[in-house]
Amino acid sequence: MDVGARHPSQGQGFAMDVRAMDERGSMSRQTLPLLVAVVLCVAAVFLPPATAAAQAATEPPDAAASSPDQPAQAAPVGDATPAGKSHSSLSRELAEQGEAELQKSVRVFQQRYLLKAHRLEVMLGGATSLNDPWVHHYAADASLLFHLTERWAIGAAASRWFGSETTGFNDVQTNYGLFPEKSELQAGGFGEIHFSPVFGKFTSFGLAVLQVDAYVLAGGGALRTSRNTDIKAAGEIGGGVRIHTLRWLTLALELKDILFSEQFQTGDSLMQHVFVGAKIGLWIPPTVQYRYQR
Amino acid sequence: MKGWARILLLAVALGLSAFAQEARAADDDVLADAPVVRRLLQHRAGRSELAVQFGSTIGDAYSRNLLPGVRYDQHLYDWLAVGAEIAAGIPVETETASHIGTIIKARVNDSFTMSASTLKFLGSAHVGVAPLTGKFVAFGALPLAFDVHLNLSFGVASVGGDPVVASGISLAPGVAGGVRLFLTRIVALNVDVGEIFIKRTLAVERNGKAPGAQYSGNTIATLGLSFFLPAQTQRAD
Repeated sequence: MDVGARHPSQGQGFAMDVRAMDERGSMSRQTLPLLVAVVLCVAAVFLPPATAAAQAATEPPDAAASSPDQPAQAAPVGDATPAGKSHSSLSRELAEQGEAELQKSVRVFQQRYLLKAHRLEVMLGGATSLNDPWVHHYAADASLLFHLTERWAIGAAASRWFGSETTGFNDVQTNYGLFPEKSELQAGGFGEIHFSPVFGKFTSFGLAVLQVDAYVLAGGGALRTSRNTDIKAAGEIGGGVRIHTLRWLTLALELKDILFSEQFQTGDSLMQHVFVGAKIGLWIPPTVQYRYQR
Repeated sequence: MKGWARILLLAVALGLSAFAQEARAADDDVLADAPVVRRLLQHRAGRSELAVQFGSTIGDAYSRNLLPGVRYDQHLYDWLAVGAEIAAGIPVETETASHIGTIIKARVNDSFTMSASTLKFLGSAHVGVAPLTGKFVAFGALPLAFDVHLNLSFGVASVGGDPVVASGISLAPGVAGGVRLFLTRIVALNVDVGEIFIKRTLAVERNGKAPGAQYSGNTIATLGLSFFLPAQTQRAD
C-alpha cells in the first residue's frame, strides 16, 4: 500500500519517509536532531554487545554467567570513563537520550488524527428520505454523543421532519380519484449506541490525505406523525462514515432506517423510512492529547 | 446579548486554540515538504474490470424493476475509466398498483385493468471517475482498499408495455455514484446508487387510457461483484 500519507494540516507520516536531506540538497533544521538520534541509537544498539564481548574475552569463565541487569559487575574490566562511568552505564544513558530524540522526530506508526475516547461530539445536520413514493421528507437532526472508547459511543438524537407530498401522490389523486392515507413524520427522539469497527484514510488525486472511520448505529425512541397525536415507539438502525477534517470538526455521511408501527384505517402497518444525510460534528474538548508525542 | 457574546467568544477561542495546535504541529514536522502520498498502490490503472451485478429500482409507485446485468470497465488511469453495461428487467407490481386496480375496478370502472410500464432492458456506455481512493482496517485486523466513484452514462432503455401502455425505446441518460471495496487485488465489491432518466408512460389513468410519455427519473441501487485483470497492480512514484 501507499506510504508517507499524512494529514494536510498536521503533516503526519511514516518513518520510512524521514529523509536526511531536504529536496534542495541542504541539511534541513529538523535533520540534525534526527542524525544525532540515529547515531545515539546505533551506539545504544552496538555498545552493549561490544562490552559483553570484551567481558567474555577477559573475564574468568564464572563471570560469563553474570546477568546483563547487573552493570556494576562490568566495572572490573577496567574501561571506566574519566567521569567514573562505565561503558555500560554510558551506553544506557546514550540509549535513553537516543530514545528521547527518536520520540521527538521519528514516527513508527502514523498517529490517528482524531482521538475519540472520552470526548463529546455534538452532531448537527440534515437528511432526505429515499424510499417513500408518496411523501418526501427532509430532516433536521441534532445529536449528542459521548465516545466511551475509540470504537463505542452512546448518545441521544432528536429529529424534526418536514414532509411534502410527491408528484406520485398527486398523480394517484388526479388520475384515479383516490386519496391515499398518508403518514408524515413530525418529530422524534432516540437513544443511540454507535460502534465504529472501521478506521482508514483516503486521498484525492494525491492532494491531501484525510482519515475516516465508519460506524454502525442502533437506537430506540419515540416519534410523532401526522396521523394522530400519539407518541409511537420507534427504532432505528444505520451506518455512516465520519471524515476527520479537523480535531474539533468532523463531517459524517449517514444512512439511517427508521421503523415504527403506524395506524391506518385498514389496520396497523410497519413503516420504514430510509434517510441519507450529512452531519457536522463539533468535538469537546476541541484538542486531543496523545500518550506519546509522535 | 451578553450570553451570545460569551458563546461567540468561547467558539472563537476554541477555534483559535485548535488552529494554534495545528500550526505548532506543522512547525516541527520533518515531513513538511514531502509528498502527501508515495508509492500508491493503483488498483485500477491499466486494468480491465468485469462485474456481475444486481440492481433494483427504488421508490416506484406502480412497478418495481429488478435489474440483473453485467458491466465492463477499462480503467485508462487510476482515476478515469470508460465502460458499458447491460441489464435485463424483471418487473414486480407494487402493492399500491394492486390496490388501485382492485379499488377502481370495484368502484369506478369494472372493465379497468391496472397497467404500468416496465423496464425490459437497459444498455449504456459510461465514463467513470474515481476522485477518492483510500484504505481502511476493519476490526483492527482486516486491511481493505476502497474508492468512491462517479459515473456519467448515456444509453437506451427498452420500455415494456401492453396494449394500453405503449412499449418502446427511450434514450436513457444517467448519473450514478458508489463505493468499490477491494476484497483482494482481483475481486471487488461494488455498491452504487444512480438515477436514469427514461421517457415512458408510467401507468394508465382511471378511464383506462394511457397519458403521454414523459421523461422521469428512476433511482436504481446496484450491488455488484467485480473481477480485475491483469492480477498485477501498478504503483505510483
